[in-house]
Amino acid sequence: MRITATALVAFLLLLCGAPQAFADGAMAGADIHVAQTLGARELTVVLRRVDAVPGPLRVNVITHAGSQPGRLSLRLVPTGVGSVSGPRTESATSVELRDRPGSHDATLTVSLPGPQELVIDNTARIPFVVPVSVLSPAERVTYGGFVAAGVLLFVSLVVSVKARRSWLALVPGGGVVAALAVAVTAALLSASTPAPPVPGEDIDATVDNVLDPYSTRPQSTVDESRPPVNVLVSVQDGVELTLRLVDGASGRPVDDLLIHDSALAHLLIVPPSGALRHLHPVRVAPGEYRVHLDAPEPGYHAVSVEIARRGGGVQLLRSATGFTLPGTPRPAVPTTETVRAEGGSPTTITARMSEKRDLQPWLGMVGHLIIVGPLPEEPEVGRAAASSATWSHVHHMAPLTRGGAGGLPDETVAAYGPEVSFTHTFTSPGRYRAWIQAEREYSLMTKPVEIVVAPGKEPR
Amino acid sequence: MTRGRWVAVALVVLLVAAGGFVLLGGGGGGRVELNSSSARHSVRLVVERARVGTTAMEVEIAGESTVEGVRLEPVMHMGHAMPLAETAAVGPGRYRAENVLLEMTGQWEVTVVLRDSAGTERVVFPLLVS
Ligand SMILES: [Cu+2]
Repeated sequence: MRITATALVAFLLLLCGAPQAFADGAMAGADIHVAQTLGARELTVVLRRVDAVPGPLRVNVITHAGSQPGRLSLRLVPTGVGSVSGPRTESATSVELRDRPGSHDATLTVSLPGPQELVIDNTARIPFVVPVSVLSPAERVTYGGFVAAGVLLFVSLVVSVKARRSWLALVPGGGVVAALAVAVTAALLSASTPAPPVPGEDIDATVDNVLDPYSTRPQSTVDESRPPVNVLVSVQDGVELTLRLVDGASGRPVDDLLIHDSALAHLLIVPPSGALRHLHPVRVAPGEYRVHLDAPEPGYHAVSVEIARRGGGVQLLRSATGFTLPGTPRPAVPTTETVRAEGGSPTTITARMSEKRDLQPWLGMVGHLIIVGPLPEEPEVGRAAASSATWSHVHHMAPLTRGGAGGLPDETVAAYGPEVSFTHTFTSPGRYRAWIQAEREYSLMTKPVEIVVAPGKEPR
Repeated sequence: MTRGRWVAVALVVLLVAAGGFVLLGGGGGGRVELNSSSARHSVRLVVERARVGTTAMEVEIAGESTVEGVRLEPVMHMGHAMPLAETAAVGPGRYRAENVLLEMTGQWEVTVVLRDSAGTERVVFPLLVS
C-alpha cells in the first residue's frame, strides 16, 4: 500500500515537473535576415537560429560593394515583459567591417528567451523573439502516461512478489492500463490539437507566452487584424529622413512591425530624376524609423513604405506629402529600355542582369520589379510618381533549396539568374516607369525601364 | 472488496485525474503580474482581473524612486484606445488606478507613463484579456 502511494506521488511530481523540464530542451525558430540602411551603409544582418538559452547568438553582418570599413558595436538587450522579475543581462560585442564586401561574424549571448532587441551602433534597434520549443499538452500527457505506465508496471511487479495479499497487485496493474489508455488517447489527439498563436507573429510576445505558448489559446471570436497605418515623413539637415508610423485608429506609435521580405520597412523614394532609392530605415524608437540619404537630390520626392503589422498582412503606405529638398531639380534620367504590354492580362517582363548564373538573392529574392504608373505628363519623375494611380512591387523568387533548414538562401550564395522575370497584370493603359533590381558581386543593380501598356483587347 | 481496497482505487483515479488537470492547465484567476523596465526604472504592473469589465491596476516601481506621477494608457490592439487613467499614490513607489475598463477580450496593451524630474518614460505591457 505504502509503495503504491509513494510511486503515485512520485508520478504526480514527475508530471508537475515535466513542462519545465521539456521547455529547457531544444529550441525552435529559424534564421532572421534584416536589411538595414545604417548611415551610408546598406547592411544585411543575419541572426542565426538560437539552439539553447542561455547560449550563443551568432550574427552575420553582410556588407555591399563600396561599403566603408569600420567598427560596429552590437548589443543584445532582453526586452520581454514577464511575470518573473529579475536582472536582465545584456550582451555586447563589436564587429570589424573590412573594406571588401562580404559577411562579418560576431557572437552574442542570449540570457533569456522571449523578446529581445539587437542594438547596432546605439542607433538601430531590431526587435525579435527567441522562441523555445515546447511540447503540446497532448504530447505532455502522452509522455507522462507512458512514464507512469512504466513506473506502475514496476510497482505492480514488486507488489505481486512482496505483498502477502495477492489482490494488492491489481491496484498498480489497473493503473498501468489506465495510464496506457491516457497516453494512447493523448497521442491520437495530439495530431488534431490546433497550433497556438505564435508569440511575436500572431500575438504580442512576452517571456511567459514564449515559454508556454499553449497558455494563450486562439480566440476564434476575436478579429486579430490591426488598423491601417499612417506614415509621417520629415527631413532633418537635408540628409536624415524620419518616418513616424502611427496607428490609423488610436494615433499611437506602431511598434508591431514584422520582418517581411527581410526588412522591417521597405522604403521607396522616387526623386525628380527618377533614380529610385530602395532603402531600409532603421528603427530608432517605437514607431520611429530613420534613414540617411546619401547624396540627396534637390526637389520633390515621392515616398512609399511597405510594412507588415502583427496580426495583419502587408500594407503599402503612400505618403501623401512626400518631401522636398531645396534647389533646382535635376532632369529625368532616360530609361534604357521600353517594354510593351497589354492591359488586363498577365504580362511577363524578363531582363538579363548578368552574363552568367552569379546573381545573389537580395532580400531573399533573386529580383525585384518596382512599377509606378500610369504616369501623368510631368517632367519631374518624383511628382509624376506621387500622382500615379498604382505602385507595385513584384518579386522573382529564389527556388527553395531542397532539404534545407527552411531558411532563406544566404546572400553569399551567388548562383541565380542571369535572367530575372516577373509577371504582372496592368489594370490601366498608359506609360509606366519601372525599376528592375538584382544583386551581383555584392552590388545592387537598378535598371530603369519604361513600360507602355496598350488597352486590353480581351473583354473584361 | 474491503473499504481499504476502495480507498486505494479511488486514490489512483483521483491522482490520475489531478495529474491530467495539472498537465492540461487549469484556468487562472485573472490576476496578472507583469515586469519590465525602462531606461531609469524597474516597473511592475499588477492587473487584478484581466477579464472583460473593470479592474484595478497597480504600478510598482522598484528601489529609490524619483517618480512624481504615473498614468496608464490602455489600448485595445484592434484600434481602440481607451481614456487614460490617472493613478493615485498608495505607498512608496506604488500607484493605483481603481476602475480601468477592459471592454473586450483579446490583445491589449497598457502603456505606463512615468513622469519624473528627468522627463517622461513609457513602458509598454502587452496584456491578454480573456
Ligand atoms: Cu526592400
